[in-house]
Amino acid sequence: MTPSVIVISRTPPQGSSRSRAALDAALALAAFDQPVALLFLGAGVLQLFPDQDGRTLGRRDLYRQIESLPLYDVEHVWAEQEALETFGLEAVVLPDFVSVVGLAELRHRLGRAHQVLTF
Amino acid sequence: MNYSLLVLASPLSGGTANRSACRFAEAVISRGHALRRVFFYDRGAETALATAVTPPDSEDLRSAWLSLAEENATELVSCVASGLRQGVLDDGEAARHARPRTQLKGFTTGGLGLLVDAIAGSDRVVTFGESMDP
Repeated sequence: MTPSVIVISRTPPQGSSRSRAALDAALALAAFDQPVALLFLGAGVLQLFPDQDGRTLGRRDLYRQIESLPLYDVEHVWAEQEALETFGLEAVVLPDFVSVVGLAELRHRLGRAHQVLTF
Repeated sequence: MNYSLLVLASPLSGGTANRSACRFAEAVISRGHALRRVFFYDRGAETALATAVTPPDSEDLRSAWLSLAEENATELVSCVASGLRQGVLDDGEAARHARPRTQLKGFTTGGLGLLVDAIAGSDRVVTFGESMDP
């Protein structure tokens, strides 16, 4: 089923608060029972690199919160296949609920969504 | 059509995205559409910061937002959590943290529930963010 709202997260985990803002928006949509997908696009896929801990930089641990997305009813979590290749992350073990999706298919899904928020 | 905007860009950043959002809002209304709510989130919450002073040779985007809202019954909402981090305190938060109020009059404070509500209740939601590319 295509979720009605797609939240696109395209910034690296650190360097700005934008990654956190995207994650919080997706969590809020799910908390209010809106079918939502969170899409890690471009440099956003760096948020999925395993075992990173924002606390070493004095920030909240974004990765741990990403790992708990299914618990908070964010059922669709997608990562851009081409970006994973660009950043050399093809061999990295992603959380098992993350689906790797190519740009052609993503274009199709974005076209069918009711709303798209880009972070 | 019924529009809402999500503004992630600060008017203080030196970028142009907050201004583009404001111009887009004016265009939406002048075309006869309804603009229900503008949700200022992440660095965008700085739009509601009363203590920032615009230099005389620059456009005061805050007053542009305020007059747009006043003339068209558009709700200007600054995210409470983003606002706290950037020093935007409404009366309630100012009292809670024993600081002076710093939120511009004409803005209200709200949580992400108001963004969700705007998404569910609008035909179009348009996001204005600044490029985060290096």
